[in-house]
Amino acid sequence: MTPGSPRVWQVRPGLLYRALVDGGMIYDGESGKVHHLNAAAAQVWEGCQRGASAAELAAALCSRYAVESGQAQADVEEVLHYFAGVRLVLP
Amino acid sequence: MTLSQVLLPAALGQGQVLAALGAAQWRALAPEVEEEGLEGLLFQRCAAASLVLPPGLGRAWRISYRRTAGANFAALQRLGQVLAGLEAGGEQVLLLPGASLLLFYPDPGCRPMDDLDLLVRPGTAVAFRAQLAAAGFAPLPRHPGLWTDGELAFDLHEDLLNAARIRTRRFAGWMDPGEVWADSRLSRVEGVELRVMGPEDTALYTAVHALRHSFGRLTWFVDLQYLLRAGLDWGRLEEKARRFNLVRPLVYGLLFLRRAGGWLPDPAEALLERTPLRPGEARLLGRIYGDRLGGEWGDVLWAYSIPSLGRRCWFLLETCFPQPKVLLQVFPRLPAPLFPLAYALRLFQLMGRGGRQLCWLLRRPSSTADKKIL
Repeated sequence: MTPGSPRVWQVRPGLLYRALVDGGMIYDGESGKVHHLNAAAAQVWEGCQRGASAAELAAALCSRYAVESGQAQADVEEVLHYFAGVRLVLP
Repeated sequence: MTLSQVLLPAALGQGQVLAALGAAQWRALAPEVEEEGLEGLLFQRCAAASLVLPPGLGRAWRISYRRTAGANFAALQRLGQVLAGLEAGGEQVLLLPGASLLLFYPDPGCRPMDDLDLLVRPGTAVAFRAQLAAAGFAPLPRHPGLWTDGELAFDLHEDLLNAARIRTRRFAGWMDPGEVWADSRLSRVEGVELRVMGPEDTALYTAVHALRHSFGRLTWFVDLQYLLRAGLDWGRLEEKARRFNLVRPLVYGLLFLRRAGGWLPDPAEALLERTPLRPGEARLLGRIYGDRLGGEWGDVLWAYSIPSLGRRCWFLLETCFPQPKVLLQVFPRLPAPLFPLAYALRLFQLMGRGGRQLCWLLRRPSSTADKKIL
């Protein structure tokens, strides 16, 4: 993925998300696994559910946390890389 | 102020109680919170109130909160998957308290549970067990109702208050499963559609459950407090309590809640006024309160609900020495054919416990749930 790209990642169907006070978690009914997300990762996931692009996700992180655009893009990339690696999102 | 009187308001969301604590008080509070299983709820309350926990404690409580959230959420989703294989699945199984009480909590990380207790509709048990087996669950040896896949456990019930395990328990009180089914309601618990008890039945069940376990967990009083806050039909509750002979367990629960710093609505206060405790009952309740985390007097207190002295003794005798299949669960390594030996082992076990209780009476240790910290 190119940081800041307009690409949209698709959330894999059948996953259940639950917001928590410090982030959130995703239950994967296929594997029975629970993936725990910190607050920033939870924000990225909620953005993915809304169909936000990577660029929009990074912008949302910038507005919520006092981070620079480049850092936010890198963080989003890392989180999306994790989501893709465990098949929570599909390219 | 005692620990319980700090913990209960804090657990119920009064963050200012915790904000006022100093370092020494946090140190006193932390082990009690862990023993009570309240780390998750207090972590959630502190985080929601932007209250910074002392270093180390915040991390430990967060781990516990996350572990509880993941386990509870996964257990309920697995249950939903199993029920999907049954015709009208959500109608066939009633989720018993405590899991059903998650409805009152901010999220599933706030109330730890060992397993999910389920009341299975008569006639459905065979099909439900088959679904569980197909999903990779199997019953534990000697515990035909406890099904596990190694990670999650479902405890299947066909009666309430374990009336079939201890038959004389019916003398002390009961709950009619047919009536509980009739008064139940469909609800979505963490996204899974399930039947849950009506609020009045839930309150009775919670009070009796706490009593049977000698009020050993403050969580049950958090449950009770949530139920009272949500509002109960007191006429209906008292009528059911009288009919099921559960007035005294309800009164004990309310008294305990008040003593722990909880809030009671006016009808609850009126019930307490109308139901004075006998001197022995009051002494025993005070004694249980003083040794809440280590005491084992719940069934003795419950025996006060039985008017007949003979039946009271019979109830206590069967509670101490239950039928062989129940006692073999207490001693899982004892081969079944040697079950008479289980009664001798039980006698030694009770003598040991009796000795420990006697020591407590003589020494009155300072480390009890009622310890003063403020």
